[in-house]
Amino acid sequence: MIPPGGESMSGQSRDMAQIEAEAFFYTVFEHLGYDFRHYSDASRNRRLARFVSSHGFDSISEAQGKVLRDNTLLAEFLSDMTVNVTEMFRDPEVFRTIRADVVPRLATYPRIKVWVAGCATGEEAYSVAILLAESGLLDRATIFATDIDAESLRVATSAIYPADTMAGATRNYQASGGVRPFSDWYVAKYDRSILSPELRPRIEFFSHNLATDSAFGEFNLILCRNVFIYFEQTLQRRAERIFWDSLTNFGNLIIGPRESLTSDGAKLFTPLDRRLGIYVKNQHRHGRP
Amino acid sequence: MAGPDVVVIGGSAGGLKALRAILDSYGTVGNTVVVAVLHRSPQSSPLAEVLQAHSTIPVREPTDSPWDCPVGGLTLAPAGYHLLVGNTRTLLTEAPTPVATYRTGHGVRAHLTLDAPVCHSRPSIDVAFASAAELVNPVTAVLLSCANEDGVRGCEIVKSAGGRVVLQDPASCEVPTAVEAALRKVTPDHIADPAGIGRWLSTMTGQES
Repeated sequence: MIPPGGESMSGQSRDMAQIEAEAFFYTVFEHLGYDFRHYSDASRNRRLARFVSSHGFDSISEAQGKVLRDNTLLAEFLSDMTVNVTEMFRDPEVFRTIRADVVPRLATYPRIKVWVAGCATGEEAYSVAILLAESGLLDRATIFATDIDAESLRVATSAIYPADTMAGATRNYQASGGVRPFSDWYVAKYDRSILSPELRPRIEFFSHNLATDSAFGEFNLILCRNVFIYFEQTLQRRAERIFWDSLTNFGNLIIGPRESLTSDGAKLFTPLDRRLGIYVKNQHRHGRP
Repeated sequence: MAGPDVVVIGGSAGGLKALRAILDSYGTVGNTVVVAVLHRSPQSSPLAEVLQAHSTIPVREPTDSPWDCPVGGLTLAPAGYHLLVGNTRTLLTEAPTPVATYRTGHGVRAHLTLDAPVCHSRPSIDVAFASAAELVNPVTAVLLSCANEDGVRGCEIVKSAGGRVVLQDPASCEVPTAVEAALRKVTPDHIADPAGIGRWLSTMTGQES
């Protein structure tokens, strides 16, 4: 993009930052294998700009050289690029519907496998574990929870969250149809809340990147909520194909309430509740059953 | 500057009332993308319906992200997410270089994120204004009655990027905290009560060029 003559200074600096950002993400992909090239630009570039300024770099280009050579800085960059601030039982209506409509189907399987893709700091994975436990299914379930950010996975693995997040979690849990005292599910200690030891052994946290990795198992239920909001269509299509390949027959895919499938994805899944983002896998890849 | 005009309106306490008054006097918005960010509780609420009842302008919350903002319509930030605006872009099948894989267009898209709240708010007015400053389009930021300083920094960023800033007259604000702070930082292009802002926007934006 060559700015036309008479472009203001602000227009020039905007173009410069845009070119630097594209060069940055191209280089990070080429040399480090982390592919943010097909993330949606506005939110991705805002996160990059925050990383650049919080680390005191003068420009994106300066940050690029440092990220390439310093693994500690790379880890911090990956955290800044991916961390979502979420909570347990976010969108309680979704969990209410999972409890009522999805869990009874899961109960028909001798072994239940769930994938939480883009799990961030783990709140969603533990929410699903609590739902399964309350339905008596947790002891035959395994939840695979993946993210690209090692620091988020470390927090998730610890099962320890700030104590002040439990009030919101409790409200959401109750709104989702939970009837037990939510305090059954954690122990408060000083300013931390430690989730019940019943939950942690049923969840496997590990690194997986929807932009570059492929399917790794077969699941009865996949949750990938508030991940597609950051993706351009080309990357979302890739993830949709991975999820189709990874679901058993009649398996459910759950995406965020502010997300839609691509036109290709709409051929792979049929909506059960479009508003809540709940879908079922089509048996045939092209065309509905 | 290219593409449709973009008007981004932000407010909190008293902001909804002011926004309704703006829409009453705005009429049709023509060749303009209007975006509104109001502080709201993270639970879904019928805010879009409330606004729609006051306006012939179609009011839409994004159901997807990125999401194409309709020209001639109002895009409302949904509860619990930041809303950023950015320009449309097209994936190039034969990119001139491996770096330039997308071509930037003049259309406007909304992007939702779950990044940390800014000024205790998600959606945040600062986040929306700052993103609008990056657009190739002519941008006007409108800051309404607001109980904290969210939006003030955003006004500065829009102004320094060559955009326009409109402030609600503090005398007409339910809570003038934000506009009074903004007045200390930027020289507004216009200052008026909500009805006056609506009339000013209808003459100053959206003219077919």
